[in-house]
This record gives sequence, structure tokens and C-alpha cells, in this order.
Amino acid sequence: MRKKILVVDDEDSIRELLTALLEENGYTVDTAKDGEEALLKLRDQNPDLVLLDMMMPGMSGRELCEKIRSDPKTKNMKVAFLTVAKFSEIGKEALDKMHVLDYITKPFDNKDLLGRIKKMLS
Amino acid sequence: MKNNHKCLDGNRLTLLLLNEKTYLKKLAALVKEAEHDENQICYVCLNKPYEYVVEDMQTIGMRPEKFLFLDVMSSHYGTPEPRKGCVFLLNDYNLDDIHSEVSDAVSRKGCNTAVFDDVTKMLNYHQAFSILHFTNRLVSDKKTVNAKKLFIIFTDDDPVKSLVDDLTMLADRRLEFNSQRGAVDNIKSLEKK
Repeated sequence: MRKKILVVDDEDSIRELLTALLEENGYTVDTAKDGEEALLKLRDQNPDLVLLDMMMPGMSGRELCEKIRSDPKTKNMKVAFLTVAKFSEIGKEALDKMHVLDYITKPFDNKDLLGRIKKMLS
Repeated sequence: MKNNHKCLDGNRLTLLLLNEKTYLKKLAALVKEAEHDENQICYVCLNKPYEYVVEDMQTIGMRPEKFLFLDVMSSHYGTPEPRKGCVFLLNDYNLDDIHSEVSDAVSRKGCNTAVFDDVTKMLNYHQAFSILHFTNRLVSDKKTVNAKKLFIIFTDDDPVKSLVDDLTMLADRRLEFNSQRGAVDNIKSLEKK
């Protein structure tokens, strides 16, 4: 069965690129352009993995992740960040506390990204 | 206070959450160590024009000549007279312009510390995520990466919590001054909860 991934990013080009890449590699992909849209989709679709941008207008990736963890319906979902943010040690500790599986920096290498996604979903 | 200075050693991006009434004294204490360095400090005036900042500094014994000022406010009210030691930005609160001038101060003018005083004011002009992008650029851009210390200041007693928490993800240290007790030794390091 194909694994479902929700990509949350405010940049159209990133959503399109990731959709094409992940679908080509056997995943079912849905996208959301901001945190509000993501929360609606998360409750309905129960994806196997959520790929989050950190810096988005409105709700940030961190805020969205906290909401995911505080909702009984979504709290156990697998979450990873895909971001240009240069996290400090404090930031990395915060990611651990939010049970974020991985953070991948943009621009990303397709092969590396696919390998890390495969590992997270295994 | 000495111990609190030591706790900043090696920390690059520091978030300072200060009380509006006493912030300058607290800031003065915290940048004192950088003042002993030979290099100038780039001071980005975001909530007061350059002249007011200099007056404030002089009243508490800070040496304005130690600073290279970037004034993003004065041009809002007219065309400022050129002043030695100050760059007046023409487009007030334009983040690209501020980044460009800070880059220049760090990479060409020898500043190894930059102070952004204060970011609360920027929220009147920019969305929180734009400020987050701006800060991320400061800590990762090759032109500003050589700055030893970056101080991002919030002076509101109730700053936008989500932005502060987001910036904390990029910060090496977050310091909050207790406005009720006021004493310098009440500095608390708020490592991410």
C-alpha cells in the first residue's frame, strides 16, 4: 500500500517539486500552503508522514507541530521539517522535544531526501 | 554581572527580552564586554532615531563612538543630515536594506557584533515570518556569518510569544530580565522549555 505524505510549504514551487518527486517514487502526496489548511487535512487524511516548512506566513512550522502534538487525533503522527532554517542547539533540542524525526535543509538533494523519507517511514 | 557576561561567551545569536523602562541599562551591561573589543559594534536603531539613542547612551556612560549606527527611522521624518558614525537608511524598515548594511558593517567595516534594538518595532511593518527569514539570513549568510555576536532585542513586556519562540529555534541563548525584580542578578537563562 502506498504511503501518504502531506507536504506543508507556502512556496508553490516547493510543493510542486516535492509532489512530482514523491509521486514518481511511489508515495501518495497531498499538499497544504499553510498551517490552517494543514490542520484540516491532517484530521481527515491521517498521513503517514508530515513534511513541514518552518517559516510560513501565519502559523509557523513550530506552532503547527505543537498543535499536531496537542491534538489526540494527530499527536502520534510522524513529522519532519524541510526548511532553510539554521537551527541552533536550542532549536534542535526543541525539535527533539516535539518528537520531530528529522530536519532536512533546503536546497535538498533528491536522493538524500528520498533515503531519509524511506527511513522515517520504515 | 560578571558571571552573566561569561554566560554569553561563545554564544552567537542572543535573544534579549527586556523591560521597556530599564532596557538600555541592561543592554549597556550586556554589550560592555564587546565594548572592550577593538572592533566597532553595529547598532541598528529600530525604535528610536540615532540622535536619541546617542543621548541615551551618554546618560548611562556608554561610548557612542564605539558604535557604527544604522538608523532606519530618521528618514521617515525627512532627509537627515549626514553624520559621522551613522548610516541613515532611506527606505525605513526595508529588511533587504537593513541586511545589506549590516553585511557591509560586518564584512567591510570590521564590526564583529550587531545589536538590533528592538525587533518589537519591526512587527509594525513586517509579518513575523519575514522577521524569522531575516534573522535566519543573518545567522547563515556568508557576509554576516563572521559576526561574533548578534543581539536581537524585544522590549515589550508581552512580546509576540510565537515569534520569540520561533526565533529561539535559531538562537544560541535566550535571556529574559525580570521586570518586577529589576536587579541585574535576576537575569535568567531561559533554555527552551
